[in-house]
Amino acid sequence: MARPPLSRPTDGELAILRILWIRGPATVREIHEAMVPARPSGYTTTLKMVQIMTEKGLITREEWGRVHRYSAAAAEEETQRQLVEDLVERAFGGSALKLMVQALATKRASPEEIGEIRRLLEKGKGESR
Amino acid sequence: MNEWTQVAGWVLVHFLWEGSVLAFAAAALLRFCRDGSANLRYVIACTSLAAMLAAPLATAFVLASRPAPPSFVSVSAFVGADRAAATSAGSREVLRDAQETLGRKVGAVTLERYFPVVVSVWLVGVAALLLHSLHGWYHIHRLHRAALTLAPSSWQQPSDCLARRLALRSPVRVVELKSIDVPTVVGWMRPVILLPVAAIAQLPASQIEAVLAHELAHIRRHDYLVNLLQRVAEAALFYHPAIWWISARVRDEREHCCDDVAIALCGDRDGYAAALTELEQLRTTTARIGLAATGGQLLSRIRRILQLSPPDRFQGPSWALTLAIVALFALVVGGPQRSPTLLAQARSTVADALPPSFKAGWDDVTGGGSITSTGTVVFTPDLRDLKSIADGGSLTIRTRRLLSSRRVEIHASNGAVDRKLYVNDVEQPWTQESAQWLADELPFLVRRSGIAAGERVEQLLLSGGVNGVLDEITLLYTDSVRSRYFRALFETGRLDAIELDTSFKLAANVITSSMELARALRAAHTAGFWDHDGFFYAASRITSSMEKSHLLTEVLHTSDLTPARQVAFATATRTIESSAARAAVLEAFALRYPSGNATAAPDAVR
Repeated sequence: MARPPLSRPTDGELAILRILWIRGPATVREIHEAMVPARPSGYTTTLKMVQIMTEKGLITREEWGRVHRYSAAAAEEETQRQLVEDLVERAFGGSALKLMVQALATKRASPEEIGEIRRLLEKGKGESR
Repeated sequence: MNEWTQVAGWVLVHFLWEGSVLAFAAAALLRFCRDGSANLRYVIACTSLAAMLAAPLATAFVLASRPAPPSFVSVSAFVGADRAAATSAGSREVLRDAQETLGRKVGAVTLERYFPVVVSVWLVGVAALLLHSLHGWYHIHRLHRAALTLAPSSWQQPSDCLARRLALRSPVRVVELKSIDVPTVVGWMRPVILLPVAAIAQLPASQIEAVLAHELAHIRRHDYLVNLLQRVAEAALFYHPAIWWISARVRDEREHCCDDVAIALCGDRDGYAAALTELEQLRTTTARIGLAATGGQLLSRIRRILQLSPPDRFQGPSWALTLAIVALFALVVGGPQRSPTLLAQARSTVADALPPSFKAGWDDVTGGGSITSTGTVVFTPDLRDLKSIADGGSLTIRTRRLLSSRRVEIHASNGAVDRKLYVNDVEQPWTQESAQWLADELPFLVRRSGIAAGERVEQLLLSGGVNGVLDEITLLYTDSVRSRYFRALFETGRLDAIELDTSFKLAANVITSSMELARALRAAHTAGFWDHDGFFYAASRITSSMEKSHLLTEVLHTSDLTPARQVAFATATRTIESSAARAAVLEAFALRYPSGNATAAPDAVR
């Protein structure tokens, strides 16, 4: 499956993607009807969003005669993962780091320290042999 | 100043030494337990941190339950308040003694003046740090929720296996991500382990399991939550390096504890050490958060894991910084001016000398002042200096403006008069400038306080007669002092009819307080000056019905009114506003003088 560059979907776009993940390929009319209960809006609004998403590469279009069917370009897992990766980027840019517990300290070891450590490890390996 | 600001300020100041003491104690304990288990040291560090959080709370409790130290009074009142503080129940001897010693030092007054600023700065700092953390926490929260929706990685099963061995109650999800470079735990109640994809691919399975064990150990020890609480503590007491030091110690020992667990579960020390080193090296070089600072823990951790003797580098608190803090505290509160001789002098001034014969003080928006004298004090007529002072007597003048205070103490002993000047409680040499300052301030102070009123009235009578006294009265500031001068004037008895008339008119015009006017008129009555129309005119100008009726009733019962005076009396009585009081007085009057002179025309007295 072709993997176009995924830009981050907005909340509204995520809603449309969820519909497509559940229903599979659908027309704009079907998408709109599914959206109306939760997010009432005009048909033209939905159409506009679908068009933008197609340009962004979030949705692919298949033409079945005069009917256009749209499907999500990437699987749900894929998109969610991308979202999380983005959130990680944002979380790491600031105070969030201090609130997490990590295997290694925030401050990195200097190259000298790494060298020292390597020497110790070598020595250890040598001794245990 | 708000009482809470005062308490908060003192709590912050006291924590300077409390935090240092706790830090040194913790350092000593940690050093003592150097060869013990990492868990023991972790508990010690955590307890110390908790103690550092508890100390200011306890301080606040103790301070808030005591009467507040006096914020501005004269020397003798200071000593008096001291005695009061000593008798009140105190739970913490050390704290109370420290507080009393501080309270005794007049310097504490100057210190307290900065409290609103200090407390505000502290609050701003706390708010900033908390907001910063909150901002970060929000991001983590979103990340956490999103991560929970991802499919677990292939390491979920080994992780669950390890989790069972560690007797973890809640399920832990393991997720692999590209953009993370160090294995991380997020979340407390539904923890998620985030693994870096690139690094994981390069490590053998046994080593990954060891790293997983380390992370699971963190989860079992609720380290995520403890870390959050640490951040809160750091925010609250950010200004003391001791907090940062102990917090770092907690983190260090925490890692050691989890390393121990990882080794216990997986057995291979060398492998685990190699895994950590590999992870360190695989960290992406793009500096995300400005991680330029190096010098991490890793070397000491590796040494410890490989059970090599650590180099004898004790991680004590930054001694220099902590000593600086304690020194700052001593300076701020102690101060070079706090010589014991001054304290002894202040005490002896009050204890040995005559009891205070006059004491007055006041506070307003711009500052305040006080004047205290023991023994008889006489001022020069122009009020620019002291003329004489009784042997053994003293005069203390204090003025306070926004940020500075000045005190002049004049003592007379063995025929010699000794003058001392203190600016912000530091003794200054007595110069021409000091004498000039005294000359400038004294008129206001004398007129504002009403000190030596009797002596001044005598002086003024001699120089300017009654009119001289009355002129002076117009320069006074408050009704109580004006009344005092009038009373002194009436007590001399040296007024003729015209002077009396002028005096009564002036009193009525210049004293607005009913109580004070009544007091002055009572003095006039006692001196025998009531038999004038002017007296009753002044009496009629008293606004309070109660005061007026009491005064008139007194006059009615103790003096014989001539018919003319009866008219004046009745006219004055009719000006009583309260109908009940008025009726009562008129009734008493009618009983005493039933002849019917009460019906004279109201405009008979003008």
